[in-house]
Amino acid sequence: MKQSKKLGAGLLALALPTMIFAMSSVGANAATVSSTVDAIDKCVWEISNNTVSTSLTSTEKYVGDALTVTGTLSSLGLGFTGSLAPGTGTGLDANTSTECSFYNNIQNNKITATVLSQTGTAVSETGAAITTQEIGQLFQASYGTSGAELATYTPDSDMNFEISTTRALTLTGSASAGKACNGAFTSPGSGSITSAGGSMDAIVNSGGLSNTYAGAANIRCTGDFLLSIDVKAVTGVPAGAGMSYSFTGPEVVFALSPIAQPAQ
Amino acid sequence: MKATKTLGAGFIALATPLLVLAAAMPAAQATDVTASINLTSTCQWKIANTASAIVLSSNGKKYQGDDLALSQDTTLTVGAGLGSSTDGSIPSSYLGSTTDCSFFNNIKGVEVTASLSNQAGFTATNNVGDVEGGMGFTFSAANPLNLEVLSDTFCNSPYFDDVAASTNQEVPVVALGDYSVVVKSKSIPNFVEAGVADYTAAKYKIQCLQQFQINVNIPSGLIPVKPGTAYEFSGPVILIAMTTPDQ
Repeated sequence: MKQSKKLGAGLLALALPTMIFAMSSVGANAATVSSTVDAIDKCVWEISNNTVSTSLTSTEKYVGDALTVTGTLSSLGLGFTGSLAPGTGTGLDANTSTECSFYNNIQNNKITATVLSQTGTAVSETGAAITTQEIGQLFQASYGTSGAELATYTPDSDMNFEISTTRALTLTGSASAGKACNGAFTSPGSGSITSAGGSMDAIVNSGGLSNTYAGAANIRCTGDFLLSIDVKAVTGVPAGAGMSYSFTGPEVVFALSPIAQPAQ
Repeated sequence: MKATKTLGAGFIALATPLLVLAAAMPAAQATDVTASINLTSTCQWKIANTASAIVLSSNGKKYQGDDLALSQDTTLTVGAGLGSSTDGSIPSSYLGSTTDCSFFNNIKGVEVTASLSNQAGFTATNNVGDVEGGMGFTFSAANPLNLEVLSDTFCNSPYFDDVAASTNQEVPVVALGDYSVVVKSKSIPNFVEAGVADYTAAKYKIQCLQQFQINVNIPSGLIPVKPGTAYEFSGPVILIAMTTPDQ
């Protein structure tokens, strides 16, 4: 009995706050329900590009005729991963996408390659002064001794040339070694850019995605792109005949571009 | 309802660091494109002329009032060769090396001419130093100063006219102001590969070296003041000139 009194006192002590609460709600009792759930990380698209500059060259010497110069931009990639660990160490390369979900809002994406428009002052390939966006499509020439510092080169606008409809900058894509494209992507594309502001699709994901992915799903596509353009032909001996020419060319921007979803 | 609010608050708390991460993630990346090329050297024509003085000989024969042929003991090499701007003078050998060169689509041919620059004949001086007008003579169509092309010319036929064949092996020079073409190019390519020991047209050395012998007759009918003595004949300066017209 003494034990029962003690227990009753204990219950009273425990119940006191509840009774105060209950007294303000006359004639009713309540229980608070709570829950904790973990939300899966959301998927975020990634673009990777390990090449900050691409140099185009030719093994042949220039003799006045149009000369094709080429160079490779390696490991341009498109994929997605969980946003909390976006590409754990540039995930597209490291093969470590993390668990994620699109939350039923799947957005397809592609990478577009665009020659950036720029303004300033320069000389066009025809010798005209230009200040417009055309500068963005210009390769500006200078010449000097092979191997010497570029700062020592002498500008030679007579050798300037531009991207145009007849002299396109072409990008020819192929899957990077060991990084074949997942089926949700078309293979790295090929195309041409013919002016500043012009663009082409480099890597496209046009569908085939699920809502949720487990870790290391690695839904991605990584390609190498061969850039190519012709140095213009000339009639007349260039000022730097017998020497080396360097051309400062355009900036090519690789950007994520959402693909419009079909109407439901 | 409260459970919903609790879950919503949890999302907000969870989402805040996500937004920061997303903002730091680049939506675009870029590459700067540059190009570099090496240019071949410029093609240059180089002239060859091996003699600064030419002595004609009668080969021991004496003038007797008839035509007396004078000719050159040694051959005269006149020609032109194509090399790069970094080459020196053209080599005398048929397959000497040059480096690659280009006209950069402004192709120049070559023409080498011979002309008389000071006089169109010979003056005669006798053994006491007197100039004898009666022993001097001027050139004529019948008695020109002839540059006779020898058979062993070093001309690369795809690229040069065969002067010997077209002029019956003699290039006459008669009067002041006249000139005769001794080397003339044809169909010179824009790019010339270095000469090598390979007799394909593309690598054949583009060069024409003509070997000439000069001859002229002391005409008949001249009457010396001092017969029985030696006369010195002083002749013209033969100017060898090169032009490089557009082709």
